[in-house]
Amino acid sequence: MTAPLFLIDVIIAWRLHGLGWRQLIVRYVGPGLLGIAVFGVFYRSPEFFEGTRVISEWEFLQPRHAVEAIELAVGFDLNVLDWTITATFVLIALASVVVLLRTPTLDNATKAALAIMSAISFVGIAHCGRGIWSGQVLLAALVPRWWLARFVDRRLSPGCVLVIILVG
Amino acid sequence: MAVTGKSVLAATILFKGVLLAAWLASLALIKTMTASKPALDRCLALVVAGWMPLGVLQTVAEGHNDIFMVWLALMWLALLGQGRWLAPVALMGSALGK
Repeated sequence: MTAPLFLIDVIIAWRLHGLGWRQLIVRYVGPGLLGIAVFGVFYRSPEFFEGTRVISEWEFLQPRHAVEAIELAVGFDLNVLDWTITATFVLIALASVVVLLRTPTLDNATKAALAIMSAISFVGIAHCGRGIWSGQVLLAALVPRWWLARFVDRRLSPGCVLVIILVG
Repeated sequence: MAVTGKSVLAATILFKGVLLAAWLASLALIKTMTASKPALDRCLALVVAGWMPLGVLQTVAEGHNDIFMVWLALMWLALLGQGRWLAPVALMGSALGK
């Protein structure tokens, strides 16, 4: 979930802290070795990814599922709306990365991280886990007045959580 | 198993204790990271992070380990702002944690 955030790390290290490409390579040697070491400890066969494959078959609580419900209610195809929602989240993530490139601040890094995680959890994966949401809330808390943070917070408001618990 | 043996109760308490610690550490990090912001933003940050029922319900109560991933992601952001070389290590830990 958080691996794509390395893009933000590169941008901040390069644009804000002024690291050259050699320093950038050195910067990621340690994390790379850590990743390989931990992966090596747990990986035994391709079945290692079985859990991920199974979870990707769960379809639950995504905006597109709300669109499907509306389709059932009104009786006609809303595929365009579905794709519009998907494209919107992707464009928000791309736009936040462009803003970060132009103005590399920690606030913009937090916004880009939240936008990327929102794109992944709301449209990128089939099953939007409630645990992942709780993580998004903590990122949204760092930029509470940003409109996307408010969207995340309201989507996860107590009333919504109550419905999730009752349904889930 | 190595720490708690065959005791399910001990394993449960240990696991939930780790999740609770990660949740509390995340709140402390948010408080630290917003220290330079206006009072209203600091209050909003703590209320959103700490008072949202989802946080406690999904982590400590239900046992989702995502809070560990997010705690390390917050740590990454905090270290990133300070220009510390450990920042990407924390992010790798976050990615591996999930």
